[in-house]
Amino acid sequence: MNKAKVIIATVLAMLVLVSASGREKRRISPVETQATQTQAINETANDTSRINAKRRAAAGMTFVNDNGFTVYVDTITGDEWIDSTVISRVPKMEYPLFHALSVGVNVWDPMMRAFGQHHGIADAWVELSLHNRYKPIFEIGLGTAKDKPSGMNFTYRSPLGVFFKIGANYNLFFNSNPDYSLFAGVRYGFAPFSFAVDDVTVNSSYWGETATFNIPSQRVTAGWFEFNLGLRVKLWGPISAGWTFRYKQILHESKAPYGKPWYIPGYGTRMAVGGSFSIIYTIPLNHLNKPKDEDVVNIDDGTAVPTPLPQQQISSDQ
Amino acid sequence: MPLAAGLASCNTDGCLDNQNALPKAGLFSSSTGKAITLNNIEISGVGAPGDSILVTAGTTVGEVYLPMRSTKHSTSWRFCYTQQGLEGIEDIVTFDYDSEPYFASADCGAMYNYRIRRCTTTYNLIDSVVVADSLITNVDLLRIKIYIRTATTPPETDE
Repeated sequence: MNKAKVIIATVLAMLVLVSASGREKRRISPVETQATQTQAINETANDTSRINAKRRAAAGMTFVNDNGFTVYVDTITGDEWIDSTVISRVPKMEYPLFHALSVGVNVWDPMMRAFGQHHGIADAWVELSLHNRYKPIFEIGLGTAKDKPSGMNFTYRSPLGVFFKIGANYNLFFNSNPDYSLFAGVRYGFAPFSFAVDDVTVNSSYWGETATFNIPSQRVTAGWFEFNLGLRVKLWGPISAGWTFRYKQILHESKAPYGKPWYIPGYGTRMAVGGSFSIIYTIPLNHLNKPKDEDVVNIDDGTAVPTPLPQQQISSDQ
Repeated sequence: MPLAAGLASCNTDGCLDNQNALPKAGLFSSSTGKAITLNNIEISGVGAPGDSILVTAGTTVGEVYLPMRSTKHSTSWRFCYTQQGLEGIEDIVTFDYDSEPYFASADCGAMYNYRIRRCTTTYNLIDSVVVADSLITNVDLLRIKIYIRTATTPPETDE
């Protein structure tokens, strides 16, 4: 009997020991240890954005550059960098709103007349440069034609007529040196004019007859669209030269009872492509603009000094 | 002397149409309404110098340019049939028109367009003449249809 009591007591003691040892195994290691405190730092040690943010906060020196970007300066190393979160903004216009006024004379037709062309006179245009980027333009010119093509049975005649064009150019190098530009542009052209066809000879070889007649003068109007691609280079002082390639398409023309005109002043003959060559005089308009903002510092002129912003000054003092 | 070829081939490189307003006429069967070709017909202009022939017999013709007289307001064409048994039979087709000066283009030149006011014909073998478009320009289109009575071969019977 005593033996049984001993066995029961032994089993109970073992159960108590087992349960006690189980409770010890469920004990959790302390959360705050030296290892856990440095774990996050170690994992982000190579994160460039965090490093830069920390450096910016520590630097405390900023200034706004000429393009409108905030430049951070490392006061220890002297390195400068721009906040990459604003780098995708549209760059600030390098040139003022009213940049220049250009007046040009297109001498393409007079030059081509020297080489045997029988139509066209000349045109002049005025162009306003806004920020050296957007350039509304107005053109006015005169055109005439008188031609008897070889081998043909008529003499075409179009007395002096005026034409107008309005449109705009877009300078692709708007933040570069304004002495040189590559531009694309559009125009709407309009011309009221008249034309006649004289000395028409119609031969009928079968009937052995020849009829001669004139097609009376017809007054018409025409409108067209132009897409231009051009280049402009400075020659000397305010004088520059410009070449333009033109793709043209007639949008509307009044119906003429005796046939369509061959030549339209300003448009030329019914060819879809053409060109122009202009001599240009440019007048600067800088005096029409407000003075530059004082906060904008030009770092290119050698006088620029990085200016700490007030709150940054405070943080750096801390 | 046939001049149709010379009249039709008056294009230049820059002119995609004719350099004259030429009415193009086509021959059609009055019974079937379909286009036909004939080689036993002679076409000439009434009053043409030297009685010159536009289309000679023996020439296969289905379409023909019939040039208008630019100095007159009426042009007549004689259709003579040379098939055996039809000798001496002819038809006269007359067009009355107004001439309108027209500048086509620098490449095609200036010309008269013709607006047909009336068309008359005899009816020996011609059944009818249809003017599809009364304004004759230098655009190369078939504007006149001449329907001719053609013999139809009776179907053979097995007897």
